[in-house]
This record gives sequence, C-alpha cells and structure tokens, in this order.
Amino acid sequence: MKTERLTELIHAHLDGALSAEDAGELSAELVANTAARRAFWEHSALHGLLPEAVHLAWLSGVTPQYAEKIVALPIQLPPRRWPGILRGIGLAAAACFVIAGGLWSSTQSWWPWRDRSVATLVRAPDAIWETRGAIARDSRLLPGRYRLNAGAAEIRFRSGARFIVEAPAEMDLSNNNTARLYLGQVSGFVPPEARGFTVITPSLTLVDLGTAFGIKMPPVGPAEAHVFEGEVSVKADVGGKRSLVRGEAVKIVNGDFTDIPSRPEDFLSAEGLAARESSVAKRHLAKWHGLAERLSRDPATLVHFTCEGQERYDTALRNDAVSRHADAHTAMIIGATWAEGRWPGKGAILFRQSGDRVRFEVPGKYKTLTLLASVCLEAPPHEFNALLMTENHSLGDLRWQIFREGNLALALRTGPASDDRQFETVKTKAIMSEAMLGRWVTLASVLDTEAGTVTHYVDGEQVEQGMLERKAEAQLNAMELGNWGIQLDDPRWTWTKAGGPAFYDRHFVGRIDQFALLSRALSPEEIRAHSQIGEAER
Amino acid sequence: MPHPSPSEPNANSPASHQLQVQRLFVKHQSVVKAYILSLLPSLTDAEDVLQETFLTVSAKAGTFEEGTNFVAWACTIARFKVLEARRRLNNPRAITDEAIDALAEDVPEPLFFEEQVDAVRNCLERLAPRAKQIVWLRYHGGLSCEDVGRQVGWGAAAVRVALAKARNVLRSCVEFQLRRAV
Repeated sequence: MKTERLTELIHAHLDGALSAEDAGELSAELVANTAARRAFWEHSALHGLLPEAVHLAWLSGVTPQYAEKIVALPIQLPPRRWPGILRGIGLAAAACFVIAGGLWSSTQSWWPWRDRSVATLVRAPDAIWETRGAIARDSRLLPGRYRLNAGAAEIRFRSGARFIVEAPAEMDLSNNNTARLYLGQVSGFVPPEARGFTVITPSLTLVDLGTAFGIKMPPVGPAEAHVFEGEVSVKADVGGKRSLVRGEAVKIVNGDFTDIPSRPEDFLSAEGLAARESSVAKRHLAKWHGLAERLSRDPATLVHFTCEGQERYDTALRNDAVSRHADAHTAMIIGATWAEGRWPGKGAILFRQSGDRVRFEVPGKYKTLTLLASVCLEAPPHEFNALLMTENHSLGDLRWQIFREGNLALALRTGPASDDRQFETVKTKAIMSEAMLGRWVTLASVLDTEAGTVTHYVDGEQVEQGMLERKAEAQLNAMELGNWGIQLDDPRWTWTKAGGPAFYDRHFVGRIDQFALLSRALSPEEIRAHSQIGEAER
Repeated sequence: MPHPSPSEPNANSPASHQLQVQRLFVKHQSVVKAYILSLLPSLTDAEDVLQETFLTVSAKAGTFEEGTNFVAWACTIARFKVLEARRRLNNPRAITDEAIDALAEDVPEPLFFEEQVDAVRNCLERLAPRAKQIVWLRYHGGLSCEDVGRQVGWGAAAVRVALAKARNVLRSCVEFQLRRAV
C-alpha cells in the first residue's frame, strides 16, 4: 500500500471517518505489514496525547482566547452499559473538561449539550474515587453518587458553597446547593449568596445560614454537627430541630440532640488540603535541604548559594559554604530579585534585565573546579547566556555559559592573548530547547586542569567530556552569576564593542535557585544525587 | 490545623495492595488513556473504556506483582476492554480485532510520556489560529468532526483534512523538540 493511502486511512480511523471498505483495507494492511503498524502508532500516538496536552494548555492559560469557547462534554457511563453487578454501587460520573465560569451563559445557546453539572472539583490530591480512579482537577461534576475511597477532595457547588470531604466517604451531589452524605466527614464553607446550602444525612439534615460547619457521619455511631462560624439549622430525622451557632456542636442519638464540644481541629481545612497537595513538593524540598547541608559543609566548597533562609528584601546573597574564604562571605544581588525556586517555599534569584547580576569574589587559582547550578531558563537564549563568568582578562579566566543553540559550555583562557582566541571551549550538544523553557534543570561542569578535561552533566547524567590542549590553572577573583561584569569603557574591554550587544551583553534570563563552586571534582554519583532529587519516587 | 489521617487498611493486606495498585493506575492513567485512544479513537468511548479498565485493574489487583511493568500490565487489560467495547459498539467501520491484536505486538514503549505531552503543548502554539481552534474544539470540546464543522462553518470533510494537517504539523514539531531536548 502506498504511504499516502495508509496515512489517509489512519487519519480517517482517528476521526471516525472510515467506511466499512476502508476499515477492511486498513485492518488487512495492519495485520500484514510491520511498517504499517509502525506508521499507525506514530500517527495515533499524537491523537492519544492531544486531549491531555490541550487540557494542560488550557489549564495553564496558554491560549486564553479559546477558553470561553470551551464547554464541557459531560462524560458519563450510561448505566445500561454496565454489568448488572456494578450497577448497584453508584457510579461516579464526571466531566473531564471545564468551562470558564462567567462566560457560560453567553455561550450556552450554541452548545448542543445541556450542562447538567452541579459542582466543580477544586482539588483532590491523592483522591481515589470508586469506579473512576482519579478525577482531574477542575472537572465538572454531574449530579449523582460519588464514593471516595482514599484522600480528600474540595468540591465547589454552583451556588458558591464549598465543601471538603475526607475518605472514606459516600455522597450524592443532588443539585447546585444540596448534597447527601451517607458516610464520611465534610467541612463546609458557605458564602452569603449560597445561604440555604443543605447537607442531608440519614440521621440529620443541616441547613446552613451562611457560615462554616462540619458534619461527621461515621459508619457506626451517632452523626455529629459542628458550627465554626455563623449559624446553622439542624433537623433530626425523627422530627427535632435545633439552631446551632459558632462554637456549638451536637450529636444525634435516636433523634435526640446531645451537646458535645465543637472540634474544628477534627476537620480538614481548605489550607490543610492545599498543603497536602504540595506535600510531595515538601518532601523533595526536605530531601534537598539534607543534601545542600552536606554540600555546604564540604571542605572543598568555596561558594554555595542555597538561596534559603533569607528575607525577600535582602540585597546580599549569603554564601553558605562553611569553609568559605573570609572575603567570600556574601554576594551582592544587583537588579535581580527573589523568586520561587524548584519547589514551593524554596527561594531563587530571578534575572530579567540586562543589568541583573550576582557579584562576588573568591581569590585564588585552582587546578580543579566543580560548578553546579540549578537553573530555569525563562526566555529563548541570547547568543551567550552567562552562568558564571570571571573577568581577570588574564590566563585562567572562566566562562560558563549557555549558547544560543542550547549548548552548555565551559571555556578556560589557556593563552595570554587579549581577545577570545586564547580560550578553549568544551561544549555539549544542544541540551536546552524551547521545550525546556520554564523547566528546572541542574547543570554541572567539572574542570580538571591537570588531566586537561572538562566534563558536563545535565540533570546528573554525563553528556559530554572534552579535552583541553594547553595547560592553565583556573583563576577566579571577581565573578558574576547570571552576567558578565565587564566595563565597555574600560580600555581592556573596548575590543568587545566590535562584536555588538549580542557579543558583550550576556545576561541570563531566568532563575537560579542553587549555585555551588567547589575546589574538587564532584564524583558522577555525587552530581547525580544533587541533581535528581525526587527521581527515585518516579 | 491538625487533621485525622485518612483511614488506611493495614499495610500488606489485600485491601492495601489494591489501593496501591489503584494509586499506580491514577498515576499512569494518562498513558493508558492515550493507548486506548489509539485503538478506539472516539474520546467518549475511550473514556468509558478507561473506567472499565480501572474497574478490572482494581478487581485483578492481586495478580499484579510489584516491581513489574505496571503500564504494560494495565495496557494489556485495556486492550481486552477495547475488544469488549468494540463487540458492544458493533461498528463495521472500525478496524478489526485481528488488526488490534497485530498492533499489540508492536506497541511502542510509552517512554517519556510527560515530555511528549509537554512537547505537544508547546507545539500547539505553532498552529495557525483556525487550525488551533479546530484542534481545540475536537480535543478539548470533544466534538465530532461534524460538530466541529458546524461550529466553524465548514464541512466535515474539510475539518478532517485540517485535522490531519494539524496533526502532521504537530508530529514533526514534537519530533524536532524531543530531538533537541536530548
């Protein structure tokens, strides 16, 4: 079969446009021909990736111009398709996609499906839903029975009421402002516009009058209602009715109310849930702290900027290396600002403008050096993008940079001339690309002037090793992170003007949340450990 | 605010193992869904099959050995679910069971799924505005080609041509990006 015909048939398959004859033709070809099968997977893989990719793009607001046109296609298993045995357990139904809230009404007219959702899933880290597994964040939830087997979920009703439900739980989202709770515990937050939000349990009905409350419906034992703010009305299943205000709580035994202490701490708060969502990040941060501490204590560490434990208004960056040189206690942050690093709560330095830099000094000459930095490039690279640059204008000068094509490069001045020709450079193939923008990567380069080698590592993997032909020790002194501290009007540097701004303006655009400079070669294992935090969990 | 930890079955109990397997599924379900979509291209049908796969994966959790390839195991179950769904849908215009079995022999390893999704995401920006809208309606709105056509005022055939073209653009862009990213 000709390639064009095969491709045409595969696309028709993906778009549900095969005729019966086409289907037979394609099937026969797939059975008979390996190359056809390979072509099939190549084309259909993209089809499989697209829903996820488009959804993520939508979530990140990459193409907001289409957001208002996106309406959810509720995905619900028609019960008739289910084997009888499963019918009784209550199907969790959810839409996979979301609409932009406020614009719904104006676009509803053209949409062929009626939106029946009553609530949105705000977040549900670690949640496992019966029959369903995970439900994507921001999914719209159709009315019906949901069973939460593990984790916790925050649900926002259309009325504006929110509740947090903790597993194990079973509930029924009845309408925009009503839920039934058969099992589990929920805490509710009801804004004024959602007054009247109702939770019905087998033994009590709670009507909220604009407040925050909690309900426990244990598998055995009495149900409890707690009020944290405002007022609720509670009606027992056998007739009694009570108003509860802030700080009050009751349990219901055989229709009778018994006062109990209100215990807000028993219920998961919205903040608690958000924190749980980031607990993975916290674990990684804790692990990183341990490794960073070890690196700071290493006697060979000359400079270690951890970007941690400092205030956001600090204009000096602390060198955490324990055996640092007396002159290298801190670095000046010039122009650059504080930002968030690899994990929530981790500090980083953000470089944006051409003048942004971190300037510091370490005297001396070194035979061996390790440079390690975790960086996040935030704009397509310029011609040269400085990571660490010295400015001695003499033998042993260092240039650690990313080139426009995305190569990581380390250059050492091994000859005495006054221009760039006396540099020897070892660079990797392109390791940065557009796909890497906004993504953290840990770069490390080891210079061994005795052996004459430069070894580059990206995220802990060795990607390049090259040789230097001439011998020279590295000379440090004044250095800059994220920029190149040359003065154009200094006669020593005027020659750089000939190259134009692309040559002399080498500022880095992005974030750096850790930088270390050591006077020994870190081993590949050490570099891997520092670069692959959290990898083991994947 | 302190909160009671969610009740967990005892470690090593069958229930705990099942929960572990369900967690694995949740973690990898995008890969499984992508696999299902290749064989059963309708987004709604694929979503149904994904749910059925989850049920079977849960029920058969005991037969999954920790340390073996979970995605491969789940995809095998997904393939049987696809075959079941096809029998139910009884669509003469779909590829045959034999073709699906043959394809299963050559499933590419779903390596670097996240990188690939990221690459697709970046490449979406390369599409012309109209192509992007069509991709959006089809893959985010879940519309059929006919319904996409109604939205943009085109015939279904023209939508299909545009989609095939858009997917080709994306495919070469993704290949390029992944090659560059090493």
